[in-house]
Formats: sequence, structure tokens, C-alpha cells
Amino acid sequence: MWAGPVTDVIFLLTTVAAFALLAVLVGVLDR
Amino acid sequence: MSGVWPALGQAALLVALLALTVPAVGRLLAHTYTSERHLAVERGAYRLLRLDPDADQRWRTYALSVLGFSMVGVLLLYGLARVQPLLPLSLGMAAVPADGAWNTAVSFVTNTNWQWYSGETTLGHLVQATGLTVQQFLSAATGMAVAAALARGLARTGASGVGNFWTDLVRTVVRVLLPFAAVSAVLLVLTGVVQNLASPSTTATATGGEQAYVTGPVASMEAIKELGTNGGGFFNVNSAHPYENPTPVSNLLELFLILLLPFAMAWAFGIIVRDRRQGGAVLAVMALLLTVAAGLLTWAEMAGPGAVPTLAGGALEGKEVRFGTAGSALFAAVTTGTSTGAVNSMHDSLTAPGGGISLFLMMLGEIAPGGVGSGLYGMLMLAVVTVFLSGLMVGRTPEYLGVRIGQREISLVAVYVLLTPVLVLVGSAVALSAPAGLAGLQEGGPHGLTEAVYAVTSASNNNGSAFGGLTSGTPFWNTLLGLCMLLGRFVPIVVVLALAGRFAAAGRSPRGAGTLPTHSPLFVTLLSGVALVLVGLTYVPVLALGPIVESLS
Repeated sequence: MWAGPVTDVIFLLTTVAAFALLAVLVGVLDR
Repeated sequence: MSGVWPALGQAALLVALLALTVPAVGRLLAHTYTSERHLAVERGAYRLLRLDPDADQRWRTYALSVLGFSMVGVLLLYGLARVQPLLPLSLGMAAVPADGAWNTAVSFVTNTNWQWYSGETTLGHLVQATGLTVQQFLSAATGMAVAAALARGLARTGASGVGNFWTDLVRTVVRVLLPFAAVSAVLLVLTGVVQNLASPSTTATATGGEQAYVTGPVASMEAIKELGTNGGGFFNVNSAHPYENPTPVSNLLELFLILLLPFAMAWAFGIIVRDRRQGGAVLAVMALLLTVAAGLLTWAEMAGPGAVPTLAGGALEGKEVRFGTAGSALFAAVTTGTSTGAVNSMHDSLTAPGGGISLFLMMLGEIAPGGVGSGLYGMLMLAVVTVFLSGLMVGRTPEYLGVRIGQREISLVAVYVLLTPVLVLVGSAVALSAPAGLAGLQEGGPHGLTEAVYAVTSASNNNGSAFGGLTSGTPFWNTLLGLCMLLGRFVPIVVVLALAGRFAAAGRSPRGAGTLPTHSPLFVTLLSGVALVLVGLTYVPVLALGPIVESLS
């Protein structure tokens, strides 16, 4: 379950999603 | 109690070194963040990166720059750890497992430096030196840049910008971290810390076995590890390893490096807001909280409850004899009071009250004196809470440095103050209710609870120290702690920068007879009280179930 390229994709997408949500937070607080 | 005088002597020497250097370093930091001149090497970096260093960024742009830069850092470090076998100087090490690589990448980019792995058996020289060590510079510089932006916001009136992240980042690295780390690395080598690019060597033991000796670029990593309040060591046992911290002299040097920049940032704050007394007040609260905590922790380890400290003259389990009980207790307080997380002893072996104090120091939110940058902005958030509460008590509109604290400002501070406790308590609850979380605990009962809560607290507050006993190198713990580190670092940073933008844009109220002086001993007392009461109200139940119950049993 925790090996292979699928796992890499999951962690990379998690990273991008987390920072995207933080960028959304910036937008919300700037309103 | 025979070690009392050496312990006091060590603490006095540390205080003297800091008193001699903090004002000068504070002036250098203030100049770094306010000067309009660029050094030649900095201009070269800006040209290379195609940046305009004089562009004043609104807080939104500043925050997005921090987030974009940090995201790229996580992705690069993750990739480096995953392709390790293909890289030179990998020493034959395998690729780091995906969950472990992600945890490590997040850990070093967030200035946490939580290490689920043994450095000497997991990572080669290239990943240690160009991946982890580089991030130790960049994550520290990011935190300092954010604190500088907040200080600038408080110093400006009716301004739209809070500075330029890229300029702050480059200047912090070029003018402060690189030169300081280079000198520190040489000093560490002089005290016996190892520095080379050698492969592991082996020797035969007396019983016919084989012993491997791993060395490497330790001093260069050690310098920024302490200076940037990072804490991620070359070796698994961190500063308890004789190649990483060989003597009481290197131990004192490491303690000094950990504390230098957090205290100097407070001094620089006073200069930036053009009222040195404000920086002095912040520094006084930091020093007061750390001094009391270090004193209590040292007492707990040297003469605390239990037969062992009484009979042996101190709790020695899990401590290096070359540092002694007091040297280990002081290091434990300093590393958890800052967001460093380096250790020179096993925190799992601290007495129950000693372990509780180190946990409490992290729960304070890393403000005594906290991380480089994060310590200052964390303390300023509590200063806003203090003036708000004082304003409620006397019926006046609260203001800090002439800035009125309205509903929007106090709402943002409330988000800042509440976020970390939510991460700690919810994260601990998840860990303790999931079989995968419980499987990592070595102990049951209150000590087991403390093991789990300590890990989540360390990650959420970006400290990085490990209590020990917990097997955290599993997909469950790596993912949970990675999320805690990520949210515990960047949500507060976004909130701080939003406040910096509001402060910079706001007007200033003239000082009146009813204005609460924020540089007085009364304010220092109030701010210290607010910090303690907030933590007390939030964490007493979990502390009661963990270290307090263990102390009484």
C-alpha cells in the first residue's frame, strides 16, 4: 500500500493541495 | 546536590555570553531588515532570480511568496530523498520510503526537523548536506523574514506594503545565517565536532564483532542546526552523540547558538519600531519564562521526587555523563523553549515533572524565546491578547504601539492562538484512538499518553524534539505528524502576515493618559501571566492525565 509511484503521487498531490488551501486562506483573509 | 555550582556556573556563563552579543546581533538584524542598500552578492542573486528587490509587497503577495517558495522546497526535498540511490555520496543508502520522505521534507521546510529516522543509516552525505542542511538555512530565514514583516507592519503608518519576502530571505541568508554558521562550524570543529566526507569505517571489537563508525559533514550541519533553531541532527541521538557534541565546551557553544538569534530578534524588534524599550519588554518576558522553566527542570532532574535522584545526586538515566544532569536539564529547557528540538539526553528518561516542563515549554507556543522569527511573532501575538484583555478590564479601546486593536485584529489573533492547541489535542486524540497510533507507543498508562502527546505537540509547534519511546517511523505517524507540522507552521504565518498588513495600513492613535505602557514591568508581568494562563486553561487536563499523574504515582 505504501510503496510505488501511486504513493508518490498521493503525497505530491497532498502537498500541492495543502498549499493551495493555504493560498485560498490568504485570499479569504485579504477580503 | 554536588553539581549545583557547576550548573549555576554554566548558566551564568551562558547568560554572560548572550548579554555580550545579543545587542550587537540585534542591531545587525535591524539593519538587515531596514537598510536600503544591497550588497553586490545580493544584487547578483536578484539578477539571477529576475527579482526587483525594492518592490514593496502587500501582505498577500508576501504570503503567497512564502507559500510558493516553501512548497517548492517540500517537493524538491521529497524528490531528493526518493531518488537517493541514484545520487553521488549516497553511501549505498536506499531510497527513503514515500511516507518517510514526505515527513522529512515537510519537517525540514517547516523548521521542525522532526526525525523519524536514524540519519547515519538512512541518508547519504548529499541528501544530508544539500537537502537537509540547505533547508535548515532557508526555513530559518523564512521565519525571520515573516517576523521582520510583522515588525515593519508595526513600524509603518498608512502603508500598503510590509516589505519584500525575497529581499528579506536573501539578506537573512547572506548577511546573517551564512557568515554566522561558517564561524560557528569552525568553532565546533575546534571543540572536536567531526567534519569530513568520509565513508563509514569499521573496526573489530574485543569480542570479535565489527563496529561501524559513521562520520561526515557534521559540524557544518550542526552550526545551522542550532543557529537556526532547527534541531535536525546528523546522528540519530542528535547532540548526545560524541561526534556531534563531544565536550561540555561544545555543549555550551551549542546552547549559546540556539538562544542567540531568538533573543536578538526581540532586540531588533525594538530598533525597527523605533522604541528599544518595546524590544526589551519582549526579551524580558522570553528570558523570564525560560529562566523559571530551566530552574524548575534542573531542580526536577537534580533533586526532584523519587528515590533515584536522592540517592544518585540526580536522575542520570538517559543522560550523557560528560554533560551531567544539570547540563542535560538546561539543554532540555533551552531546546523546548526555543523551537529547536535538538537533544543531548533522552527526554523519555527525564523525571515525570521534568518531562512535563519540557512539554509545557512547547505548549507555550515556542515563545521562551521561541524559534528564530517564530518566537518574536508568537510573543507579539500574545502581546496583542494582553493589551486586549487589559483594555477590557479598564474599559478602553485596546491599542498596541499606537495601533487600535479592533474586532478583525483580535479575531485573527484568536485564530493564531487557538490553532496549535486544536492541532495538538485533536491530533493526540486521533493518535490515541487509532490502533496504528497506539501501536507506536512503547509504554502504557500516563507515560504512554505523554509519549503520544509530546510527539504531536512537538510537530504542531514545529519543535522537532522527540520524547523517545515512540516508534514514529510508520505511515500513520509520518502522515499525521507531517500534517501537524505543515498546518502548525503555515496557517500561523498567513495570519501573522495578514495582521502585519493591517497594522501597516492603520493609522496611529496618540498616546494618552489611559494608554497602557507596553514596555513597563507591569506589562512584562501581564504578558507572562497571559502566556501561562492561556496554556494552563488549554492544556491542564492533558497534562494532568500525563506527567502530573505520573509524578504523583
